[in-house]
Amino acid sequence: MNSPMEDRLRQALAEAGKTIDPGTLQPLRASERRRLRVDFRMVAAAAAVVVVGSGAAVMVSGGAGDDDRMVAAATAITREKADLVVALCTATAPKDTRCEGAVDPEQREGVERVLAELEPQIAISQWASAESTYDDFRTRFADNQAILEAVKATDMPQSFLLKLREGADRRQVMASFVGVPGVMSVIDRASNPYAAGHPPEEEKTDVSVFLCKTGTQLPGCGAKRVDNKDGDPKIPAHGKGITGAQTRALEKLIGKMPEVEKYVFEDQASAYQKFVESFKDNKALVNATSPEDMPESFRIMLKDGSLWREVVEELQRQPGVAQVMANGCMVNAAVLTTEFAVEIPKSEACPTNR
Amino acid sequence: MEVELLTQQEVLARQRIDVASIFAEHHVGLVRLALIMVGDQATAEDVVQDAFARTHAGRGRLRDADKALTYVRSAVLNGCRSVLRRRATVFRRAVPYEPPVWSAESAALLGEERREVLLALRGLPRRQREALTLRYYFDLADQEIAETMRISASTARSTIARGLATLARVLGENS
Repeated sequence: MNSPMEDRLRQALAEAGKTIDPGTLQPLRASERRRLRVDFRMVAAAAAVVVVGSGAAVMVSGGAGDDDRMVAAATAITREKADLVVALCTATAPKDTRCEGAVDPEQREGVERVLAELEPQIAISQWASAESTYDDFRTRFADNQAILEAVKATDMPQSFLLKLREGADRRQVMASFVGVPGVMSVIDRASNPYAAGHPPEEEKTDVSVFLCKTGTQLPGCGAKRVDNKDGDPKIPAHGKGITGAQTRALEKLIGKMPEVEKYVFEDQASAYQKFVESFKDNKALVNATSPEDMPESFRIMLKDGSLWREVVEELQRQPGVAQVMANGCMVNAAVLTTEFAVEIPKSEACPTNR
Repeated sequence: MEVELLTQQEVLARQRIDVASIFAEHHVGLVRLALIMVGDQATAEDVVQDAFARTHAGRGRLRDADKALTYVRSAVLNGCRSVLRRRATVFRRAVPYEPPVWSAESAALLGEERREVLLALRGLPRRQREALTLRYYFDLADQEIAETMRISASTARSTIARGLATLARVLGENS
């Protein structure tokens, strides 16, 4: 029972639809799940910006062809110089990866085949064994006993270090490894704000003390949080904001601490400014965040040689304090993830006696 | 004979719907749906990307594989509604925005007759416009349209009938 009106409508819609050429569509992007269990806005606000898994997972490749191939001399690259790191599965890979045990030779060949297909886009691809990666790691963290103890040689993945050609489609290269068996993660070193040298040296602080905001979801402020299996936590009770009296008492305490060199109070407006600066490449995140979302904090510089551990523990106990972060160890944990593809819980990167 | 033993978590993981692959498979179709609703490709792509990001974030909540595509289409439709609402507010006091598909520029692309139909479609109330698009572009059944738009099947049917009648009247008067 097709009336002429129905036919006209059907044809008009079909033609309107056809004005979209599937080849011109931008690929869809999904952000990878955050790995460290930390309120990301707080971390962003912290002087040391730590975004883990910032290389967005990409799907649906856009078929970009690199027509004018250039012949690049294949020279060796170091971990620091690589654009992308393709880490292969280890036996101890975290559960949220697609790994099923350590990578086997067959899977490794599969990854090499993908690399061969991407040859027009990749200038250098270099194999790094687990042993050499572990050596790199020992050198890098030589003075950090906590991290050296937390990571074992068997946690280190084998990896391919990739240097891309000029004009290569990063996202397409990354997308090509999604779902390839034996691949634990693909790390985009350039899109990680830490690698880009944030924040400027003079703004670095040693310890950040974040204050409770009304309606917060952080357990430090009395909020209850139930993590269920979907990774979608329920919040049966929200936390209380810090009171004026508590803020003053806290400031007095910080001022009296012998380890403290100097401290500043950071309000929501300036925290937001820093946040926008750190995430200027991520419009969606910036648009979704308003100054009212930012926590207030005290930024503390410690005297040279003093230990952050006691300071962190003492401040963490104060009422109205949401989170205390020792920025040094957070950065270490992030470096560990972005450079070596190894994840360790915050409690191991920044161990306190509690 | 092989017997598979699955832990409860594995069973859950298997039931978990891969939103990403649904989007990958229907990407073009979803963008076209959004295009018909919002009128230009860039906005249409944004709407689909947003819907994808949102459903991807909530993928743990999606349990019923049969409903996944319906859910995704609803998300795209919702996104289109937001765009149209925002445009209506922003342009209330200014010159109305004419996206390419509806505007004269597309005359060359589409042909006068098609454009007329699309213009008439655009003049319909939101619900009729959506129902007609789902029916005559995607060829969905009443029940599917109803689920996508979160209305009942009989409402979907009557909405389509009313929409068609209005279109016929408007276009009949013009010609």
